[in-house]
Parts: sequence; C-alpha cells; structure tokens
Amino acid sequence: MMACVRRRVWLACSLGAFALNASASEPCAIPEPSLKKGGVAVGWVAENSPITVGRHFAMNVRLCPADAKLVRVDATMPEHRHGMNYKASFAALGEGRWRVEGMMFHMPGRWLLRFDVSAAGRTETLTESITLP
Amino acid sequence: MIAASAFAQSIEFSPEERARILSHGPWPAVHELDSSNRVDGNPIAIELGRKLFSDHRLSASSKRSCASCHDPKRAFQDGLRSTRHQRNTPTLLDVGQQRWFGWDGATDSLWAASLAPLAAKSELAATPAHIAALLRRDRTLNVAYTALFGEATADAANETILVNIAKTLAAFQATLVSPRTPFDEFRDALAQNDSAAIAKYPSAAQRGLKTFVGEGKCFFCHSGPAFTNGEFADVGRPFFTKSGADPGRWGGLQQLFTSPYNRLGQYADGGAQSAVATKHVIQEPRNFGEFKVPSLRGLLGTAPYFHDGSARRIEDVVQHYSTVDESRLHADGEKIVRALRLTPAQARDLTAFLKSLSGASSRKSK
Ligand code: HEC
Ligand code: HEC
Repeated sequence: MMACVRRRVWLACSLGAFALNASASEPCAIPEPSLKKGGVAVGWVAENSPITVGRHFAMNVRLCPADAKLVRVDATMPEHRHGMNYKASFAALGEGRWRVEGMMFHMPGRWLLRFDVSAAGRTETLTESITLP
Repeated sequence: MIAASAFAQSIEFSPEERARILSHGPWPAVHELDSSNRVDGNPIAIELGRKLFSDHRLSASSKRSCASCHDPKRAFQDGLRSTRHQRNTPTLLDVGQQRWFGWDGATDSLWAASLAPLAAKSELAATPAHIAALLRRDRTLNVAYTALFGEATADAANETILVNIAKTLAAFQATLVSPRTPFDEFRDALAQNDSAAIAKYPSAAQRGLKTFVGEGKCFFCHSGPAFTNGEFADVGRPFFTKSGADPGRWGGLQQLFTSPYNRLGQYADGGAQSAVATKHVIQEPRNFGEFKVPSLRGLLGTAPYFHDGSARRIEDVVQHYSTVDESRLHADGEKIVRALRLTPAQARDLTAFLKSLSGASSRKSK
C-alpha cells in the first residue's frame, strides 16, 4: 500500500494511487509525522519552533498529492470555544509546498489545528491537537 | 515588609507548574528591534527622543510634554485614575516588548502610539509647521534630526516630520525596561535547583504563585516573561463610562484598519515582514469591551489599575478576580475567568505574589 523511506526527519512516501496524481516521476515527499485522510496527507513544521503562547509563527506545509490545494488553515481551542485572533494566510510554493503565515496561539492549553485540503474534486479536513504548556 | 519568619521552607511545585513558572523568564527579555522604525536602537535617535519626551516646546501651547502624564519619576505614568477618554495612563516601562498599543490596541507600533498624542488636538497638538519651527530655533535638536533623517523638509504640510519625531520618541521608549524582581531571583533559582536561593522567596508569594499558575488560571492571559500574551480579553470590568460605553478592542481595531500610520501604510519602514500581526488580525463581535492584557511587572509603582483606573490597590484587583460577576462574561466554553472565591489567606498570598513582581525601587516607595 504505502512505501516509505526514512531520510533523517523527512520521510519520502509514495502514497499508492495518489502518487499518480503527483508529477509522475517524483514520489510525493512530506515531513513526518503527517496527517492522512481520504487520500490526502499533510505534513507541517513550524518555522519559529517551539510554538510559544502569544507569538506569531509561520508553517512550512507539504501536501500529498502534490497538486492538492490548501483551502483553509485555522485553529481553535475546543474546550474554550474560541479561535485565533488572527486569520492565517497561505501561499503555494509549488510541488506541494505551501507557506502559512499569521498563526498565533494566544493561550496555553489544547489547540486543534485544522487544514482543509482539496484534491480530486473533494475537500478533506485534517486536524491535529497541539497542547501548549 | 515581610518578616524573616515568612521565609519558610519552599512549596512543592509539580513539573507542569515548574515549567509554567520558568516560562515567565528570563528577565530582562531581549528587545527585538522594530523594523518598522529604521532609527530604533540608534543612539542619536534614543538621545533625541529622550530630550523631546520631556520637552514642553513640543506642544503647541508649550505647556505639555509626554512626561506630563508619563512621569519618569512615577514609572512613566501619572498615578491618576484616568486622563484621556476615561482611560488610565499606562506605564511605559517594557513598552518596547508590546505588539499592540493603548488599552484598545488602536496602534500597532510604538512610533504610531507616540504620534497619536503628539498630533492630537486635545494633547500636544504639534503640527508639522510647529515642529519645523522648533528645529529651526534649536540647533542641537536640528543637528540630531538632520543626522538621522536629513534636512527637515521645508514643506510644513509634510507629515513625515511628525512621524520622524515620533520614531525618535519610540526609540527612546524602547530602552525603558523594568528592573529584575524577587520573582526573577526565585525563577532563576528554581531553574538552577538552587534550594538556598529558592527559600529566600517568601512562602506567601510562593503559594500565591501556585494559584497564579494553577487554579487561578491567571497565566492563561498573563503569560511569558512580561506576564502578558499581548492580546485582549474581557475580565468583567464595567466598560460603561460617563459618555457611553468604551468599545475597547472593537473600536481599537476600527481605528487601526483606517489609520494611514499602521504597519501596512507608507510611513512604516521594513515592509511586509514587520506587519504580520496587522495583516492577519481579525475583528469579531466579542472584541467589544475587551481590553489589552497588561503586563504585571512593576505593579507597585503603577496604581491605580485596570483600563479605567478603577482599582486603587492590588488587593482590590485580587478581590475583583475573587468575586467577578460571571454573568457579565460571555464565555460559552470552559470558563477561564470565574469568581475564584478566595479565602482571606489565599487572597493575601496572591497579593504577595503580585507584589513580588516589582523591583526594589518601586517597593521602597510603598
Ligand atoms: C494627557 C496625558 C497624556 C499625555 C500628554 C501623553 N500620554 Fe501617552 N497615554 C496616555 C493615556 C491615557 C494612554 C492610554 C490611551 C488609550 O488606551 O487609548 C496612553 C498611552 C500611551 C502609549 C501606549 C502604551 C501602552 O502600553 O499601550 C504610548 C506608547 C504613549 N502613550 C506614549 C506617549 C508619548 C510619546 C507622548 C508624548 C508625545 C504621550 N504618550 C503623551 C496619556 C497621555
Ligand atoms: C482572560 C484573560 C485574563 C485572565 C485569565 C486574567 N487576567 Fe488579569 N487582566 C486581563 C485583562 C484584559 C486586564 C485588563 C482589564 C481591564 O482593564 O478592563 C487584566 C488586568 C489585571 C491586573 C491589573 C494590571 C494593571 O496594570 O492595570 C492585574 C493585577 C491582573 N489582571 C492580575 C490577574 C490575576 C492575579 C489573575 C488570576 C486570578 C488574572 N489577572 C487573570 C486578562 C486576564
């Protein structure tokens, strides 16, 4: 199903059928740990890590398949029922790479990071819990 | 002062509490230069800003300066309940660490926050022509100005001269840093597991700190070395004033978006990278009645408290958090601010902790 090769932190994964959607020769490579759902995968790293309460951060995002589109990036605190005070912006850098800007977690606790990714005519929502001390 | 007997054995902190305590340091924090102000950190600009800050000739009436309200002898505030729009004058110590300025965050840079009172008709009422005339009269000021920005423009309608003066005022204010405090000594001792130094921090303050980073949930908003996340919240203070309601952050954002002096405008140096917050910030209904989370450093020298100066003493602030009217707060999830119902002893401990966030000079005066 999935052939993954570990290269230091980065993992090159050919995501079965979805690799076909990406440029045919290059396997779709994304950083691990990654989020996977319905045939899309999202890998991300914060540029100014560690993510700190009250400080803006940018993210480098990789999508598989490489022609998938990021349509929304957001984060909320489910327990407190509020989101960020900022609306993230993002730009495609090519080959499945995206840069997200303007993120900021203004409180400690659990944040639910959310990526909406569209590929092959469908939009998937992928989420990840991040707890700040 | 605290009797020697109060220096009891240290309180146990869980690993989680310990991590939170450490996140309130180290102090002083590094000042990152403001790239929207090309003279930030420039010694000539700092010196010029220092002079102008207390120079009454800067005002149209020659009767007022920034120091009239931000008195350097009173931690750069005035000790009055409220001076402008029924808002309390904030201290300018550590102001260089902030992202948003004013209780409503109406400005996004220290120079824009300095330009507002400089130009406002109700305050210094300085015009470009007034500043140009002052520079023509005062050779020392003129030499410094020219070294930084080139010849002052003859076009007296040009606002650049006001912006430049505001940038020197900002360069000066960015150097104002509050001193280390008993809390900082404790925090560093904890980081080094230095039990002798840890024990020097009064146990009342240690117990209050435990509430602050625990049950009290204070650290949710008062986070990091400056004890603020730099954002806005409603902690249930009344926001009705004699002239109606203070819209707080809602109104601040309105002003920010329409200001030609924000970081996205032509007067900002440094380009898009310095405007991340301004470019991405959003306005939401909940911003109505929200105010900036203030730093808690140097509290002993900055009474009265809250955006309207409505709490006279630190004890009154603690009382507020102990008895806050929860129905006033529109949180539908897990409550962060809620009536803590502290016992008198717990209230004293929390107060002792808050007082330990002041350095020696402000403690002496109290
Ligand atoms: C009449 C009293 C008064 C004068 C004069 C005055 N200020 Fe202020 N200052 C205030 C008040 C009140 C606030 C809070 C305003 C608000 O929240 O809208 C403030 C806020 C500020 C802030 C934002 C601080 C923060 O923590 O958000 C800065 C910076 C500042 N003033 C600088 C200056 C400078 C520079 C001058 C001189 C050009 C000046 N002020 C003159 C009363 C004054
Ligand atoms: C939800 C965020 C939040 C939480 C939680 C919170 N604060 Fe505040 N704090 C604020 C805001 C916002 C203000 C200013 C409110 C105003 O002026 O209307 C403030 C003001 C203060 C002030 C006055 C400072 C000054 O210079 O005027 C003190 C002291 C203070 N808080 C201490 C505490 C303590 C102690 C706790 C825990 C019991 C706490 N805060 C919890 C947001 C918070």
